[in-house]
Amino acid sequence: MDQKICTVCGKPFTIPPGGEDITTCLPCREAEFVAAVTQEKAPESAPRTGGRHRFRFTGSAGEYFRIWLVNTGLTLVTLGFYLPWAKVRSRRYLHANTLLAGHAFDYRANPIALLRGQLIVTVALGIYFASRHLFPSLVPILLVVGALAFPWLAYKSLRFKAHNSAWRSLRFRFTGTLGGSYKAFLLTPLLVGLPLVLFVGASAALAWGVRDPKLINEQMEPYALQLGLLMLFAMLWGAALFPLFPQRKYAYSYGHMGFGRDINRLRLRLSPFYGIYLKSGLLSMGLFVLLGIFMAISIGVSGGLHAGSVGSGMLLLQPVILFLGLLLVQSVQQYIYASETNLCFNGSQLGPVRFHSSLNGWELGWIRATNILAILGSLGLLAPWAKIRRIRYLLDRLELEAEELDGFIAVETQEDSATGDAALDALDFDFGF
Amino acid sequence: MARSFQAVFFDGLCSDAQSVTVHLDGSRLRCVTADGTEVVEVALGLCTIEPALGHTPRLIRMPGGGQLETGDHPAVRELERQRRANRGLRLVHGLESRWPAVLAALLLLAAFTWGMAQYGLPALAERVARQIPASVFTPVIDQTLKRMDGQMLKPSGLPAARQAELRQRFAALRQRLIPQFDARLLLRDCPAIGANALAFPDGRILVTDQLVKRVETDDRVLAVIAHEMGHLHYHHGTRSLVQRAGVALLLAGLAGDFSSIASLSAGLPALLLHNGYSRQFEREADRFAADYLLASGQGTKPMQEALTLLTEAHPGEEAPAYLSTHPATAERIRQLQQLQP
Repeated sequence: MDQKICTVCGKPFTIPPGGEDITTCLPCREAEFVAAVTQEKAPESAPRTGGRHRFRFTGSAGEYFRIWLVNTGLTLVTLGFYLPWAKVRSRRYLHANTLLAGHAFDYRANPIALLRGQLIVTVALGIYFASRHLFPSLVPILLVVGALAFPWLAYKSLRFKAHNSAWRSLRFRFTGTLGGSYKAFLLTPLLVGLPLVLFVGASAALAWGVRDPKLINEQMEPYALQLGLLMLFAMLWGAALFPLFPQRKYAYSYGHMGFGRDINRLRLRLSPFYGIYLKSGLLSMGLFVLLGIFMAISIGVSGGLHAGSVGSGMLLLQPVILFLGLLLVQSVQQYIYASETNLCFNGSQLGPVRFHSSLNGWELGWIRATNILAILGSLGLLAPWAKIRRIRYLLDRLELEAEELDGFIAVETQEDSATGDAALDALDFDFGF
Repeated sequence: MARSFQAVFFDGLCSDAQSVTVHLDGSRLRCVTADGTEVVEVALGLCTIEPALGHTPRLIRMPGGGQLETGDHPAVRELERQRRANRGLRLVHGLESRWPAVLAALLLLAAFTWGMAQYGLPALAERVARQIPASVFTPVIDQTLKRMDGQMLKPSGLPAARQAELRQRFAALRQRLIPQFDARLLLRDCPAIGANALAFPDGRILVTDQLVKRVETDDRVLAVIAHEMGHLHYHHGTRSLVQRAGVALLLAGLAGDFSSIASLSAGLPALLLHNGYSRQFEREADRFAADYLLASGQGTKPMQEALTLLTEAHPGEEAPAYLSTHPATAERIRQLQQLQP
């Protein structure tokens, strides 16, 4: 019996009798590197990765561009009915090119399930659009219905996404409950916004049945102080409790992710979220002050050029300023996304695996801003390139720490998951989780 | 025919991988490890062959969760042919793999998008708008007006005689131009909107005191009203709603799976398209008013004068053409002049 040592993962393994022609390292499966070396002992120089695993992304922007373009063409020609197939192809491409320890991820969604979810969402949006223009009095009711339905949709979507993602033929799974989703996506926002709801309710009660806005003002006049205090309280309360919402949201979505038998043991403290939102609040204030200064200077300059007609200068600059503002908002959002993702991954432990995510908010914001410019400048043709660029960065900053990636075992019985399959395949909704 | 290929086998029960040689015996797949142990044997007819996708490894899924992964594309292609599987997506893969096909798709896409935006959507919107009765909008507009009447809009301050005269001429014009609409004239004082006129899709036309005072003569007011009746006649309000929905769907199809970033970038093209449609509608309405003015023997003069006066009422507010919902006044006046015999 031979002892071999792989030069990629540095692990020794025993070749079974008759397996002399094995050229692939069994523990790490780096088939492409065919790196098994026959030796008695591990050489001192063998690069031991110390249980650290990086992701490798093998997709290319050119190939993805071709897939995207052909499938988008088919989607338009079939009046949208091909869209689910297009989505599955695009997602499967991205999954299949994400390699961990030599093996790719897998996306297994059934396009028909996507189509069903898509039809439901389209009909719902259609009803909303129509009633906004035809029966505006229905809109508040629809919004309440939407808010009530959202946790259910989020729950379905998380389950579907997890269930249809796999690695080494083992599926991921999501074990969160529907009740948990209502807590995270309905009760928590309600708690954060409770005084605001009270304020709106009080104002509505005072104005009840009064049509003329002048009369409404008269009606409210005596309560102005109380209402003002309530509003102030609502704002302070909302600001003080806001970080609770993202923390509960991520605790729900990350904390119930499972792979094989293992469920993520997530430690997600609330205090770092305060830091994130405090910083991003200050950051956006600073950026908008800068934007304001830029605006003032350029209006001054253009006003001077146009002999004092401030109006025309404003109109010409408006789109530029709006666009810059949009880029700033996007960048701040990316900063928040980066910080939150880092927190979630670094607090996760999936069986023997720990994660290390080191996204940089500035870099991610820069990628987002330049991606938007590239997409606009290329009339959308660079969208696939932009997506691949972002994914590369995200994967590049994520590391796994585990001695062993072989030990995952599927949930006990096959039947269990088979009955689950039918229910899980039923619906998918896209929220970009 | 016996053919074999190398693959990695996963049993779907644990995350371990096994290198195997897959033999095809008749219609059965036999997976054998290097030391000769048979890991699994399964009827090919029960397996699902995942369609080819770029250069990614091919996957064969077995009943019960097992899976084969291989880089031997020709071998799997042969299996596919034998089973007559994935015929549609094999074609899609063929297109995706060839740059000429991709370029053809790009041209098709560009042509389709342009054709839809230029002809398809407007034609569709027109047909849909014809089917929607104007009265559908009455409740919404009632509500909007009720809200505005309290705040922005005040009862007209024009002398009663002037109001009566305008109403009378309005009624005659309605009879002549758009008898199918239950059109009514709403005169309001509105400093917030300034000199302006609006046509609501259910047939009501709002004219501000500011406009009446600005353009002075009744003939010019009537020319503006004829323009607004043009919007009604061509169902511009409804069409613009339908087109808005259509543009959203078109862009959603183009953006596909590029959720947030693409929908963001799609906002600008959507805005440009809407403004383009809106300018088209303005030209149509101008043309409608001009036809009336010419037929009644006044010539397009009143409309030209009204436009000049109204532009002077809003100095320095003309945005660059592509960002504007209205064509440039100079262009509109030139068009009107050309129609004058």
